[in-house]
Amino acid sequence: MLLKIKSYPGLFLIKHQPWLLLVLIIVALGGCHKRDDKMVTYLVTSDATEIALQYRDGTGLLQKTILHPAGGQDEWRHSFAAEQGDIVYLSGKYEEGHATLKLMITIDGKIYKQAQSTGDTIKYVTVSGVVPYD
Amino acid sequence: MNRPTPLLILLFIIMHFLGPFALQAQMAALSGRMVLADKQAEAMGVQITLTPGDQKTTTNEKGFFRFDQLPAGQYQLTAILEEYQKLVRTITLRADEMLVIDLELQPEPVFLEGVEITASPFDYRPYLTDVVSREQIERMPARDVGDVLRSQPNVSGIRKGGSNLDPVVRGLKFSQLNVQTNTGQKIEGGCPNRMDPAASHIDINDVTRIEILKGPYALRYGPNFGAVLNLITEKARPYESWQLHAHAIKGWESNPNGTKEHLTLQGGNKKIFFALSGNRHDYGNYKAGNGELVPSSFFKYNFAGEAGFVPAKHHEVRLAYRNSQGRDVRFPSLPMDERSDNTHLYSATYRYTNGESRVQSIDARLYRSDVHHEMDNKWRPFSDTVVAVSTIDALNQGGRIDVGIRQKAARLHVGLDYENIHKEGERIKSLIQQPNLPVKTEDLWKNAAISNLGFFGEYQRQQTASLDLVLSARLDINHGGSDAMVLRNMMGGEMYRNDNTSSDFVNVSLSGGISYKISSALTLDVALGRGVRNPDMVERFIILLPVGYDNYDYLGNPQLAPENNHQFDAGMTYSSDRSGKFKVNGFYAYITDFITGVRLPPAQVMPQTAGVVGVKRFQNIDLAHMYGFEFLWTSPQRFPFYINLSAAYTTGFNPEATRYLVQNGQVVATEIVKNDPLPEIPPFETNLRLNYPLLNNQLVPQLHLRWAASQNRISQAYDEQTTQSFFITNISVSYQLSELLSASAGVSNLFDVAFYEHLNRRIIGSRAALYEPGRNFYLHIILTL
Repeated sequence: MLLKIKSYPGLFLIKHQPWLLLVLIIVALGGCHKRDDKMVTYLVTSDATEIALQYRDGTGLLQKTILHPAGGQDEWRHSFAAEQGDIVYLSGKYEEGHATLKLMITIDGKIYKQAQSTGDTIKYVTVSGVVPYD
Repeated sequence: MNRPTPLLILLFIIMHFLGPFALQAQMAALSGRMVLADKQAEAMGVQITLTPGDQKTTTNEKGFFRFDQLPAGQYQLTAILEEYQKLVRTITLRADEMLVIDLELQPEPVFLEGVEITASPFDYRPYLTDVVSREQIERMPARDVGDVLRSQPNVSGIRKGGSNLDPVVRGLKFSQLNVQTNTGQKIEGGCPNRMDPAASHIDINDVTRIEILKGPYALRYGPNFGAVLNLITEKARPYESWQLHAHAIKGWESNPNGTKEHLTLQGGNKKIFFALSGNRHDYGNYKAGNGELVPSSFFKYNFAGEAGFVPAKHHEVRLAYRNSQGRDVRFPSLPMDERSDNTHLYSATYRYTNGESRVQSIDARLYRSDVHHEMDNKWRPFSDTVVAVSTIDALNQGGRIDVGIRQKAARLHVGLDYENIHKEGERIKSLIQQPNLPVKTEDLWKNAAISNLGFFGEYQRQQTASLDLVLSARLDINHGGSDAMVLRNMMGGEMYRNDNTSSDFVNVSLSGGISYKISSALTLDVALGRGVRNPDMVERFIILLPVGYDNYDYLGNPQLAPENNHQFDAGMTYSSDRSGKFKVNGFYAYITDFITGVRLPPAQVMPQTAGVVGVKRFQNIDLAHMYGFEFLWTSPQRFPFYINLSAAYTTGFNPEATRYLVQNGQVVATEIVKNDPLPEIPPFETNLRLNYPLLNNQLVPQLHLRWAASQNRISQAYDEQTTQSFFITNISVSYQLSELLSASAGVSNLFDVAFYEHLNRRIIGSRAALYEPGRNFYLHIILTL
């Protein structure tokens, strides 16, 4: 034993009950702050023939793509794991006056944000926010 | 409202007259007072054992102890206090005798706290010095340093959330105070809105002592404008032989619902020694007395390590590292919350101490404080439109060397200190409702730096047996600079630009004071000083952020002149066995080149924050006045209980302030306000603490009554609001279960009063008050091995 423990009654516990020290350390430092990732899913449905879509992906980059839905029941979806506090962003635009565009973001399967537009060829439809903290 | 004043007076009278009657019931007893020989200060927390009988007690805040119901005979008294030599005395008690003794504890020869402010027999001070001990800290439901500081007379805190209170001493705040840790290490917080003031980076459970030196008089510890706050943390210490000790705290609180844990391990021998510590705090939101839930949760953890060795007699070297982490700290009074804070504190110290040499001490320290701070608005409704994330790196590094020379009845300290602050940071705004998700990056600090080189001297002399003298001076050479202060719009166009960002100053600070003992009971203290502070980072270089008390964006001014405080303190201490100790102190401060905000017209610069009414730029104005007093009475030791009654008041005014009249969010007119009270000055406050030791001091219940007056002296220029008075009752009890184990428990705000301090900031975006926590039950278990 490198440490020669003496002269203090309380040290008896450490000398003979080393588990106590371990318990103290665990009690004092136990449990740091760890957040679970969330599963984010973007969903797009539309009866337009062409949609200009923008979305923020799991790496934080803004992606731009053109969709050609096969009909109103055709669904585009994109899923990724996101940290709590990450920005989620989905925005789309179409050119046909009779068309409908519906955007939705789900987080862990629950609807987080959704929006719909019919016949508005001027404005972008946008759903966005921040992955909520637990 | 309550009518507390008559109640306080009644309590005071009852206690004053109850004591002597209570005393008559005591027969054979031993009581006394312990003094630290090196500091000539009361020795609190000394463990005293009386054998035979193995009776134990601990000295109270004034160093007093007491044993009752002792049979006549011979006893051995043993007194133990860390860092002091064990004291053993043989006492003979006669029947019906009540013996009173005075004892002195000598410091351990291998560990002289030469570097600490209160470390020397020469450290008498003719100005107010308050000390908060570890025992006091452990008794409180304190979540951070600011909580503890607020317990001292004329010391307050600006609350913006559940923790990280920003200290205010006699109405002075921010860089008007010199806040440091372990006598010399400075920390620069990251947030421009001071959500992480320097003191918030030190865990309260690691603090063994807080020293508050009021006034611009102590000039050895860096530029001092209004007060020095020195936070002494748990340190490694040498032992006569290999030893290992532990100190652990587990705490629970009901409001906010949370827990805290602390562990320190200390060990070593005469040559090599160490200390390791860790802390964890996890608290939820608190509920105010009116039932309102205040979003104030926070999570913090940290660890620290220090190693020391003694290469030769009289020489000591220490290396220390401290890491502190904050997560998800909510600030309902600020536009953002702290998402994460990662702070690294490094220090290396060398100490030479030799009481027999003419050069008695050399203290040298190098340090580096590295703060990485990240905050955002993701918990705010506005983040539905714009998500803003700010990241700041704040670095403070420097050192000091202090040489103490003694000759007969005089001592001279000379030395120098250096501090370099560097700040960089940016705010990224994502406009998440806009097509193409535009992102705007703004610089919060543009490579901003401030350096200060100071030379100091302090001369102390015991002129006669009744007259002590202190003279102090320092010279500071200060430089500030930054890249051009530029703010651009989304298109890259310049909305604001200032290339004139460099400034240099040479400042002289002086102070002097005398302490005159008129009699053994009565001492008069007088101090006069001039303290100079340089403008801080925010005042020099901030670029359009709402960092003030009022609803304006603020613009830094690199050409600000230093602020000067000319202050006078006069105090009187009367101490007698019959009446106890009275201490009263008054001060007056005449501040020139006072730094405040002056509005700029929109044609010059437009505000950048939604909802503010304009832009203010930091400017020097002619002057401001501040004055106030502190009063303290502690009961005499002959009482079987301990009373501490304190009162404090500060006020200040600007002789000619400008008020901006606002209608519909626009400034429509200005007017001059004569003698406008300075903003954020706490009201008159009085505290009464009653301790009644039982079971030979093993069980100590405490009643704490606190009354704060309403604050009606408010600044019109800052659109300040009045605050109502309040009366709070706190109760607690501490129990020394054994030599190893003690506990304290209590209820703060017993009657669940809904109240808020005058210094609490308003809820952001409203004029609603940020209430203090309502009733809170707490329990601390303390283990010492």
